[in-house]
Formats: sequence, structure tokens, C-alpha cells
Amino acid sequence: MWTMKAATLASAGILAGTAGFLLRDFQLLVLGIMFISFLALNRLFRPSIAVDRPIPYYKVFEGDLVDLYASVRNTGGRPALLEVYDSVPTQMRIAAGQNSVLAHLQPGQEEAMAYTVETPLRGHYVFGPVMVRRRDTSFLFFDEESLVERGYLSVYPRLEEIHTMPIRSRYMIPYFGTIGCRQAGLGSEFYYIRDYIMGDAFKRINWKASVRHQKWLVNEYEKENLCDVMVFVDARAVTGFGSPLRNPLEYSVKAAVSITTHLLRCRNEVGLVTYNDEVKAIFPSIGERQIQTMTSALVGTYARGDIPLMTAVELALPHLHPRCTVFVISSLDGDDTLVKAVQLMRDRGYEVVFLSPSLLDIERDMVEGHIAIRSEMMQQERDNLLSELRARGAVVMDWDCRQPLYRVLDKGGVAG
Amino acid sequence: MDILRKVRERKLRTSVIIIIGVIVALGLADFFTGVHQLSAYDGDWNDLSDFRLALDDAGYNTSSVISTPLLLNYSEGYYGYEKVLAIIGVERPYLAQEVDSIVDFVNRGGFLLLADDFGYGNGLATRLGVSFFGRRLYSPSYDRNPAFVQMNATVDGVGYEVLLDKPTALERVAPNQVRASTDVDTWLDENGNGERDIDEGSSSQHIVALVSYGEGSALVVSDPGLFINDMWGRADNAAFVKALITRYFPGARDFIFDESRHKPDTVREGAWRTGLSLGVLALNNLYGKAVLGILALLSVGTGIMAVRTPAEWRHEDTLGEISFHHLSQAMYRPEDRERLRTALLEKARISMSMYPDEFDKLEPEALREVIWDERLFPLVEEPRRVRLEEMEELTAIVRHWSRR
Repeated sequence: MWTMKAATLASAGILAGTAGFLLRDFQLLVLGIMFISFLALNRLFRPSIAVDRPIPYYKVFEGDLVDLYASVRNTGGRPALLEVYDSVPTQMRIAAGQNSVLAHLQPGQEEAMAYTVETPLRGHYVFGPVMVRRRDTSFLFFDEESLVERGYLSVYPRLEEIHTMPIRSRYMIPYFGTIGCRQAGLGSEFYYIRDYIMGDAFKRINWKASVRHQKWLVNEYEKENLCDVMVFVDARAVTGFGSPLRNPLEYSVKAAVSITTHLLRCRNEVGLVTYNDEVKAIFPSIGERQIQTMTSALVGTYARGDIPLMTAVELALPHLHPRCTVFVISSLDGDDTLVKAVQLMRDRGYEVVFLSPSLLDIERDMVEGHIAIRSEMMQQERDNLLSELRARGAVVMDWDCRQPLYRVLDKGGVAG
Repeated sequence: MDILRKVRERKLRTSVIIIIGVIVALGLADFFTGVHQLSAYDGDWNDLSDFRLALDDAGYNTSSVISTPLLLNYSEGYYGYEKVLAIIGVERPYLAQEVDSIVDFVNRGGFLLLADDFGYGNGLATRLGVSFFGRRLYSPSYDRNPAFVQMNATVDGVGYEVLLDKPTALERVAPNQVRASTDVDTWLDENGNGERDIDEGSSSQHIVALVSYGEGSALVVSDPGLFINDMWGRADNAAFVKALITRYFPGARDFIFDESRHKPDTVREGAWRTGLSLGVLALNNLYGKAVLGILALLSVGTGIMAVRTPAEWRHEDTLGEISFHHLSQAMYRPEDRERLRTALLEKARISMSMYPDEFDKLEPEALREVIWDERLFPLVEEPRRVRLEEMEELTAIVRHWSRR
């Protein structure tokens, strides 16, 4: 590429040369040729270099620091004036050092740059290419080139703490798990007290209650079972509003990763559906591999498109287990099909649970100190929608994202 | 900045394309019009290569002007005693500037060989005081074909039999300027009908004249066909022409053929010739020079501006970027009246545990009963009459509203 200096010199050379030719002025002609020759000579000598930039990791967690370095070596026979720049994804911050270096390298000489990037946002990222700008010694020309293949890095969201899940197992067959199923049986959670009947174990006798009521009473525990859960994650374009770090999709992904991991570690069968500009489904399964598959899919989910929940449900219905729980994580903005979708799922006998990170709250936080008069009207609309969904039999958790996830889940309740 | 740069680049590209397009179009027009002939560097029967080679053999330095004779202004030295400008066949008219330049060249001591018949040679010849008649000369003495008119001429006491090819005659020639004439039985086809009419009388016609002008002189010949390859070897044509040159261009060393009035060989040559002519023309005119200078400066400036400055490589994260969905508009808008009304009715419906169809069928009075707060009646019944200033207060009322 030409610099402005080179363009000026070339223009002057061409003008002088042409005028000299037309006017038959030998001196002007020679001056023009000199300018052009000078440019041509500088253009001929391009330095030769080699760059190495390994990516030490391929998977980190949100907030981790990644140390990177790149080395550039002059492999040519002439001194090289170089500018080296490592392209870092814009969703990362340079925490220390610099990702560019300006070096004047003698033949065989090597220069290294080291820097640390902070990865505050989940996603699959591409590092690089390493851009090299080579200049000639007169600063007339420069070449830009990408010399190293791209490197890939996945940033995984950190798991949130989860104590309880606001879902109930509806399995008819007894598989011992951790999800209560509103039946008396083997479990760890107290359910109710009943009269002692012959055959009850003595260790289940509630002595205090027995003394108070002057009859033998025993504790009954809630039966804990396994459960099938299908998690729907809303990743439509509207969920990307806010800031890159604080938007409904980010909260949804973190919640989804935490919830699915928690459920899978409790031996439940969990599936995942994401809907944005397409509907992607991971069929229900169990085990560590399912955790990896679902986490990886969630990490690569981005806000785009406008496919409503109804479409996602209709597409996923054939893959839902009977009597399973549908766990929808959505900000509930701009989707006119929510009520119909809930109605459809309830009609099919599924338990529907909504976890809704509030975009309105996020935006209100962001305009803190500024007047947002209309927000109250929108809050009313949102409240109406939540009430309507509850009225249709769904469990709805309105998540003010300033609250930790476990607090919202603990207060969740059970669907009517 | 990127957009501005792209616009600049596009303008620059368009300008360059337009300029090149115009020049190529002119070159094309030049190429596709007229007959290709009378070139000193081509060997067809109607070209002048034999004449040029004869000059080479005689020790002259031959060269050519392909753009415009204005270049004569830039010839080395001011006086052109040793130079002969050969204009044989004028197929395109000269510009006044070009005529001035040629006449000035002669005036400065240069020699001019001007041969033409039915072309545009008069534009130059009249400035020298003679002119071409422009109609065919016929003679009873011809060689096999009436087109080839025979003539006897004498140079330095040596007689030559000359064979002309469809010649015309010279007019307004002073007797002392005449160097060769036809016999008295020749006649001019004045009305151009190809036949001899009763008023077309016989007389001797002047074919070659020598006109002195300033320090130089011009040899004017009324038949360019005399110099073409096909005629060069016929009769004593070659010897006659050589004798004329030796006699009337004493001391000449350089022969410059004016090729600018002939059709180009290729389109590229035509375009090049046109471009060069335009450049030289512009440089020979004060306004042209000014325009050319301004254009040159503009193009240099545009070229320099179009050059991309290397972007500064610096990492900038996008983590601080914020976009709003709900709060992109802070104040109430007219359509918010209906929105708030719907929110209120929806809230009332849900609180009454009614289905939408059921709620919609409520009579106005029943709806008033449900809403109960009189402050909200205008919003429910005539939302358009609600002023935007009232919206904030109404919203607060709606938020606090509950079923009675």
C-alpha cells in the first residue's frame, strides 16, 4: 500500500515527467524519472519475517485471565521495520501488556510481545490473525499481511449456586432422585405427620408431636424421584439489548448452564432447546457428556432472529417426554405467542416453569439517575403478562437480575 | 471516514474512466473514419515509405510528428534552417493554432513541403499566399489512364517526365513562384462533373510552387500522389522529387513527416495521438495551461487524499456498548394512550379472572363498575382526549389500581 508521502512523490514524479516529455524539457523529465525510480527502488525491498503466536488454552471460564505472547523474527537479509498486531476479540479486555509492537529488527533478530486478556463474556472466540505491517526504510510503502492462522478459545460461563429447583417430579415409576414429587415416600424433605401404624420404623416417630398429642405420630417424608426437564432458552434478538455483559441472554445462558448442570448431576434427564433465528434442540439425555454438549451449545448461542416460543414448542413437542417439565428461560419481551404456547403445553400435560430475567429492570439499572417515565407503563404490561401466564397454570419467576439465581429459584413455588 | 474515503475513491475512479473513455472514443472515431493512407511508415501502395527510405538513403534524418505540429514550437533551437516539415495529404483540417505554428516554423527559417489536392491543405496554403484549386486536372497526355497525367518539368536545367496521380492545380501563384507547370492543353474540371464542359478552357496549370516566407520557404505541390509508393517508381517521379528537395531545401538535414493528419493504424495509436494532441494543445494556450495546471493539481490532490492512511492498530473492546429496547424513548408518545388503556383493561380482566372474549362483551356501565376509579374513565372511554402530560399520573394510578 502507498503512504501519502509516496503518493505525493509519485504525483510529483509523474507531473514532472509528463511536463518534461511534453515540453521537451530534459531536466524536468530527469527529475520525474528520479522520483519514480526512487519509489520503485523502495518498493522492491520488502523485508521477510516470520511470526509465531500460540494459544495456550482452548477453554476458560468467564473472568479468567489468559496470557498470550507472539514473537516476530526477521528472516530476511535486510533490516525490517515492522508493526505487529494481534487481533483480540472485541468482547475481551487487555488486562496487561500490549497486543501490538513496533519493532526495528536486524536480520535474524527476534522481538516478542506478551499480554494478558481478560475474558468477561462467554462465547466461542477467534483470536487473530496476527497482522503485520511492513514498511520500507523510507516510510513510502507499507504492506499489511496476516501471517498466523487463527486461534480459537471458548469462554464458558461460571456456574451459579443452586439450592433447590422449583419443579416437581411427575414420574410414575420410582427412580430415586432428588426432585420431590408431592407423594409420601423415601426422601429427605419433611412432608407431613401422620398416625403411627403397625410396621412403621421407630426412628420415624416424632416424639415431640407424639407427647403433645398423646398418641403415636410419625414423620412422613416427600418422595424424591428423577425428573425429565426440557429447558427452552430464548435467544431472540430482543434478548441482546442492554450491554454485552448485562442483557437477558447472558443471564439466561448462565441460568441455563447452571440449571442443566445441576439437574444432570442429580441424574435427571435433561434436554435443551434454543430459539433465535432457528430452533436448535439437544434431545433429553443424562450424564457428563450431556453437560458438555449442552454447555458448549449454550456458549455458542447469540442473540438474533425472532422465532417465537410457539414455533420452538411446536418443533420440540415430538421430542418431549410425557409428563416432563418444560423450563423456559425468557425475558418474555416481544413474543405474542407466549400465552398460546403455555396453553398448548399445559393441554399436553407438561409442567411449565418460566424463569424471566427482566430486560426492563436491566435497562432501568442502566439509566440510573435518568428519568424513565414510560417504564412504569411497560412494567404494568409485563406484570399483566406474568399474571396471565400464571393464570394459565405456569410457574413464573420474575428475575430481577440484581438478585442471585438461587434466591429466585428458592422462592419459585409450584405450578397450580 | 470510511464512507468519505470510498466516495473519494469512486469519484477519482469515475474521473479517470471518463477521461480515458473520451480519449479512447476520439481515438476510435479517428480510427474508423477515412482511409488509411499517406503514412511515411507504412508500405501500402498509397503510403510514403519509399519516399522516406529514399530520404534515408540520401542522408536525411527522418522523423515524424504524430500528435500535432504544435510540437514544432518546442524544437531545439529557435531557427529551423535544417528542418523540413513534410505535409503530404491533409486529411483533417489544421487548427488555427497549428497553422500559426507551422507558418511560424517557416518564418523562423524552416522548410515546408506541402502536398495536397482535395484535402484541407488550403487552410495552410492560403496563409502562404497560394491555394489549391480543389478540382481534378485533366490532360490529353496521360499514361494509360486519364488519372495519370503526364507533365514535363525542369529543375536546374535537367528535364524530367513526371507522372501525376489525379492532381489538381495551384491558384494565386505568382509567376516567379512557379517551379513546374503542365502543358497548355490541360484543363480543370471546374464543376466536378468529370467531363469537359464548353467553358472549361485549356491552359497551363501550376503544379509546383516555391513560396518564400520570412526566413524560410515552402514548396507547394498540388498532387500528393506524386510521393506515394505506387507512383514513386513511375516515370521520373523519384528523380524529380529528389531534385526539388536538393534544389529548394538547401542545407536541410532533418525531414519531419506530419503524420497527425493521417488515420492511425490502431485504436491505441489513435487514442495516444488524441491524448497527446490534447495535452500539447492545452500547453500551447494560456487558458489551456491554466486548466491543465488546475486539473493536474486537482488530480494530484485527489490522488493523495485517496491514499489510505494506515489505520492505527489498537484494541478497543465493545463491552461498554449499551442499547435500549424499552427505554429507547423516555417520554410518552401519542400511541401510548392506547397502550396504557390496554394495560389497564388487561389488568382488570386478569383480576376479574375473566376470559378476553367475556371481558370484551362487558357493557360500558359494567366496565365502569369494574374500573371504579373515576380518574381512569377518560382513559378507558376516550383515550384520545387524554393529554400526554396526564399520562404519567394516569400510569401511576393504573399501577396502584386493584379490584374493588
